[in-house]
Amino acid sequence: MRILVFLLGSTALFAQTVALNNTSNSVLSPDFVVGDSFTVNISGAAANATVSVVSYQNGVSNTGGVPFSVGTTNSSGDWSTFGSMSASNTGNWQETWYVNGTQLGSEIDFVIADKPTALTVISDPTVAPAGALAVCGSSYYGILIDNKYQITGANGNVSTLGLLMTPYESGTFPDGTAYSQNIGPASGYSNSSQYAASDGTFHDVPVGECRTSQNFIGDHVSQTISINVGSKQYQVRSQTFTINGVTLNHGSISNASDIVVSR
Amino acid sequence: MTSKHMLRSLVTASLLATSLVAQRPVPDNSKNDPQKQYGQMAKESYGQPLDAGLPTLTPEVYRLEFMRQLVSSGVPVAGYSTQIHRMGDEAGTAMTKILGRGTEISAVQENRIVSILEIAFEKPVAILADSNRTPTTTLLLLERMESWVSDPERRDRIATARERIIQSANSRLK
Repeated sequence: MRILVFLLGSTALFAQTVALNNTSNSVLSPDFVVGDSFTVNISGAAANATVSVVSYQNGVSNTGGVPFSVGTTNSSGDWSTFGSMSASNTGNWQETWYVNGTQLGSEIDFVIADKPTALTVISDPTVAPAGALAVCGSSYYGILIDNKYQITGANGNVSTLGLLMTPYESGTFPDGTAYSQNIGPASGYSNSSQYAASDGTFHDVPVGECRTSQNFIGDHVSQTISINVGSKQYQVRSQTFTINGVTLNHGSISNASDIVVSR
Repeated sequence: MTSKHMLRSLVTASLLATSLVAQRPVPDNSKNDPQKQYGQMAKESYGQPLDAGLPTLTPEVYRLEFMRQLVSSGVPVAGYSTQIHRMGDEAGTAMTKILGRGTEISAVQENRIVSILEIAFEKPVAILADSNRTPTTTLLLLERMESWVSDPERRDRIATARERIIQSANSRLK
């Protein structure tokens, strides 16, 4: 109910309202991620009257800049519709709703972000700079790296369009211990943050293993990465790293695919 | 991932190793090798079930976090104008909560806050809630901010923003 009240754009005279709601991730309303369900509810408008809308997607009107008829209110002056957002809908939207040519409430500005479906490694994961905390150090066996990822979706690279997208990880350590947490921010790394950048990139740093007492070969760490948006979680990658630390301050790490680094 | 909190361990290795072993179910082998970083995750979430799900979010909390992020990060606020345009005076309310009483902010953060408040009223037709169309809390906050600042240039920036917001809000009311 509180969400609905926030979204209501009403004119006091007739108490006619229009509301656009995200019904599958209400925290984001009236924004969406592709696949989310929506409802449009009009109430208190003229009875048995024409409902129309002018809409713009990324600055281009798909109604020719004029009201496009989409239905008729019932005898109580109510009308509603529902559906889900598709990949072709991504971008910035402006919608203005009318009943019998009278505008209802405010213009509704909202975004539809592409659904995160995968991650690509957008730069070669490099061994963290010498002297930085990420380096295991001369008295340690092993390696630490910085993985920079790009979130991708049906339309290629995902832009957040202002939505808070939180990279999240879970998995198990070599000893079988489970972990689950936000990937960022990691203390001491200025490029690590809780949320993905607006271009859909983020850093997972530091990644690896360091031991002080003995060398190691073939340790395995599993990692499943998700992108949390509002109250929904989108799994985008699952991988297992094999980590070796054969000599002091040296090691290698590999997911047997797109992340293979040795130092 | 595995070693985020190892960084801390590297700085204060022996102290941390002792406390971590004492406080959390660190695997047995880590007692023999306290520097094994994957075993030293100091997160509150350590041991949390993987199916614990996301923390409960409300739209209000989400928008407050959105604003906090805008103030604290270095991203250009104009890129978030769709969300900010809808807020109107809710932006001022959110900023007041974020700042709290007596919170010190940098000149950069101050400028970001002022910019966000301007954006919140630059497109009055997009403000969703009637109650947020009048910049009551926003103007109070700007007045407070102006009183904190002694630098004439920064005071002028805030005063200019106030004027713009008043003009924009009045244009909607006409």
